[in-house]
Amino acid sequence: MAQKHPKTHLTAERIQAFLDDALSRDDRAEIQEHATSCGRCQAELETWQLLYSELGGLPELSPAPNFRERVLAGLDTAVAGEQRLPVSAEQRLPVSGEQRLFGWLRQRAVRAAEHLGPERLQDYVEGLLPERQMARVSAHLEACEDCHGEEEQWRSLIHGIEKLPVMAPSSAFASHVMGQIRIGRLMRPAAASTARGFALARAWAGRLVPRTQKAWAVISGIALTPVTVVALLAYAVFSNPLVTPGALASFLWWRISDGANAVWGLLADGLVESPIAFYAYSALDLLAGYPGVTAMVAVSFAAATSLAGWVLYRNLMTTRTADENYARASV
Amino acid sequence: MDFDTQTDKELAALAAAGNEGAFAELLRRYERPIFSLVYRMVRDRALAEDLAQETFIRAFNAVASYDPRYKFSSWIFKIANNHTIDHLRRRKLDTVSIDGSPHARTVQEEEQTRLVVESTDENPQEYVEHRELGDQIEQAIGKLRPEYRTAVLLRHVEGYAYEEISKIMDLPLGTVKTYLHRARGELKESLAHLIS
Repeated sequence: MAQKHPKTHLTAERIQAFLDDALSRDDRAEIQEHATSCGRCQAELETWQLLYSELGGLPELSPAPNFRERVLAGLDTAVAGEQRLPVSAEQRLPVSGEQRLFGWLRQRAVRAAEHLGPERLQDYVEGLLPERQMARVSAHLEACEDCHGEEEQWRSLIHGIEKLPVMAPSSAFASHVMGQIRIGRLMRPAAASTARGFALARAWAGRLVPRTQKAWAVISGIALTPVTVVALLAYAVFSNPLVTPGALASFLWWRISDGANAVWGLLADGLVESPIAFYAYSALDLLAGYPGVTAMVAVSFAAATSLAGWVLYRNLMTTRTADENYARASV
Repeated sequence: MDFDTQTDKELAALAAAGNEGAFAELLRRYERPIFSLVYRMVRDRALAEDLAQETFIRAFNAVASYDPRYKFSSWIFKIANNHTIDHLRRRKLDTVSIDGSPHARTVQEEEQTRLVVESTDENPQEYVEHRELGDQIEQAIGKLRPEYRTAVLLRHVEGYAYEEISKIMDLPLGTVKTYLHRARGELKESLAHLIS
């Protein structure tokens, strides 16, 4: 059963199953995705692919000269007397675990190298394989007519898709779009050029944003310097036995209250002695004698204020849309 | 100001500052690629125009939020793809017809929503041959799952690299590769009579 732990590294068995096309589509996708994000497994996968290719290219080996005779003799004997083939100690072929593994790998590699899989062929046609694998696939395609035919079909398909035409929307498309975008508030030429300058500066500054951890470390180091200096200064001040938090708070409170008193005194003097306050008091005194007129003035004032607010909102706050002149010019 | 020489990122910055000419230039550069993608996703000219328009309006009204560290083209294609896929999911239009809108009720409506291509430099015979082949490819692409369709169109019609497609579709790179392998496999099967 397929292993379902994408976080763990790929096992040798799983990689071999992948190269043998013995996995489901989902399992294959999972392996490809894991290998893309995990350098170690990517390297492991490429090593196995290379091994498969190398083994697939090994020449056929011939058995020992007396191999056939020994098999036939053993067969005759076994058929005649249902006996085991007597093999002397010298004749017995030593088969180590390494050889068995090698033979098993070779068998699988030869089978895998018989024909190229569709994914490998597509990657080859798109030029996505590493250089060495490209060369191996090319060599295989020269020798294998079936795979060459498949390759031609993939090329033909991709070429056909790439030849699909670019399509144009209707001539009114641009004007419809431009008619519905919010351009933002109207700007005077000077303000517009300033904003343009800021926008370009912002785009340029965007290139200065660090993109690597190392760059962030350097920037952080530089930014830390003033913080360190301020911290050292604070330490130097507060390490003096005469400077205590209580003494500092008392001093600050004294300075703030003194300043606030001075400001309030100035304001109060200005208000009491101002002619505006006198006129306002006189007007209120007069209006108090005529309540009907006062109410009418108040209602008229409220209505005029509301009207002014609505006009301002219509002209300044609502979004401007590109006008029809643009539409006519752009078609 | 000469907008032709400005990069997409510079134009986006100018547009964010309220420059109408920058909007117009961005629209000129991307209206055809975006419309082509959307049209091939929904195969209905009127609907494609609406969706492409909404894509541009959304993108342009939010241009201030565009992050210049990424490609502008990827950003706008991402908006177009998400908007179109959302629409297809709402309408459950997983496959589309080559012969015009699936919502067309009369022959006339069907004719009006049929594929319209730009003129090409090919001679008439080549044009007709490519048109026939193209029609069959379009039909086969229309039968793919929407996600496969986007991946194939971005890769082979728009010529995007796998990494860019992964950003546009918000998918891991391995998934994009798998989508493309499967999509091409399905296309090869559908078009076997043409390419064998």
